[in-house]
Amino acid sequence: MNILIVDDEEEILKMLKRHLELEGYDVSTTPDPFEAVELMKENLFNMVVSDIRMPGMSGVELLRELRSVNPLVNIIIITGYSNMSYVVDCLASGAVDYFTKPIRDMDLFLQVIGETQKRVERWTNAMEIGKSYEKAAS
Amino acid sequence: MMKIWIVDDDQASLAALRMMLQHEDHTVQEFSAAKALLEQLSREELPDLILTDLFMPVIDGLELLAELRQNFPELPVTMVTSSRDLQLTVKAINLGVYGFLLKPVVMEELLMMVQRLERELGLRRRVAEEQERLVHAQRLAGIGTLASGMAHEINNPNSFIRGNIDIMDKLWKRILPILENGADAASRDLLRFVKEEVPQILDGVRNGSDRITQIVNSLSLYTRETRDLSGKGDFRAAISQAQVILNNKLGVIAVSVVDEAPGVVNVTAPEIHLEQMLINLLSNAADAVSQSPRPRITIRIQSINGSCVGIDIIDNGTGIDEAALGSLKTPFFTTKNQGEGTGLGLHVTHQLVTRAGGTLTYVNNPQGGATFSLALPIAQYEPRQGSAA
Repeated sequence: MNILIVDDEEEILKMLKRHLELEGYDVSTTPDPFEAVELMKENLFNMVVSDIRMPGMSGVELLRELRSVNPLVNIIIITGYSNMSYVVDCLASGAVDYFTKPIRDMDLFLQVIGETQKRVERWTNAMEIGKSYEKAAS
Repeated sequence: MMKIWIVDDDQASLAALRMMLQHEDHTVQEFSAAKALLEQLSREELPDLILTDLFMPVIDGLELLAELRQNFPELPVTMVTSSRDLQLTVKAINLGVYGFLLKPVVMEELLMMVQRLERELGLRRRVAEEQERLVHAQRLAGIGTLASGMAHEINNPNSFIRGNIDIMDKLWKRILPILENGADAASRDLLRFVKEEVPQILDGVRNGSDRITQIVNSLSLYTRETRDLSGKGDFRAAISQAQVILNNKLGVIAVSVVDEAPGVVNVTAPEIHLEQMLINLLSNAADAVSQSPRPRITIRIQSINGSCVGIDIIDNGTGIDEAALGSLKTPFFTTKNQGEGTGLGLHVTHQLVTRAGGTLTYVNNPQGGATFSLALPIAQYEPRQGSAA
């Protein structure tokens, strides 16, 4: 399962990558939200973990860009801000969950990633079945 | 009451002026020569007003005025004279004289001039105080901006410190059995030592990082963007919410709420701020009663003059140390042990309550323990059922 992590802080990218790779995920990272959109076009990641505020593009904007490339993408946001209004904006724009930095309950974070992965699998299956119906009908 | 110095080489004039001024309870000091007055000025607190004769031997009124302007430009000086010489008058005005009194001095005229000066001085003081207050507020705002900027800068590195500790912990647990299986006799002692130390080292770093998080969270409250903060909040909801959040900490403590202000719903602080204030006060109270045989916290809600809600957090704990009474609201001041308090709780509470136009006060209870009181302006009453809308 491929996961894309976006955060302008390289050390955070490395740290989250370690956690996810230890759990067996394939992880790509980028500090640049614009590059994230390009990577999305090439790879169609189904799961993205993204910072909420980065230079050049906000978390909400990135969220919309990514979803316009892949409407089924599941995005989990992480924020360094205690202000919840950004978080609410992101959740309203379709983010599946949020965590504040520092992530103090890493087990919970990994659990959410795990559940999201299952959801992505179910959605993917549904799509496959849908396609096979279409094929059968045509 | 004003402090007035008078100088005249004529004893009779001095006495007359003194009696008129003392009639209105002003404090008067007399000088028979300008030189004596100048000497006294360098030694004593400045008077509010100087009344000087114009014609005097050695140093006359105009020379005295010139001298005073040099060293005490703010000090009001009134010229007392029988002369109607226009040239002298112009000279005195150019030297910044405050006023003129014609001899023989009429009491009403003298007292009116003193009264006018008294009003002006009061006004000047108020302007100075207001300016001081503004400068102070600006400085505080500056500190707030700096603090929240710093908090954000610190939070990022702290995030990867914290995250890396967790991964280190996991890797260590995975590798330990492999190490134990592969260790020869010679390395067993070292391994035993490392096995003992590594978890403690990881815990130490984790605690440090958590403490940084606590400080960062307190600091960022200073300038949280106010976008979603409406001006009023339900304080009862905030009290319940604070109790829920502190559930673990309150544990065995008997917490009761005495509500003596029915009808009042909202006060002039946003709920998230109310919640933060109550969390801080309740958490302090919980710390204070932690050693009490029957720990108890009472939250009393009262209406104050119908315009404010008073929320008292009354505990039966250790009370406030006399020496700490004046410093509790100072940032980073704490009476708690190293690592247990950031010294920001009461400071932040004070900031938030002040922003809402309220006050935070505290006293030691006569029967032991302490009471911390929030007074918050009422924003809304709920119309009582059955009453006409």
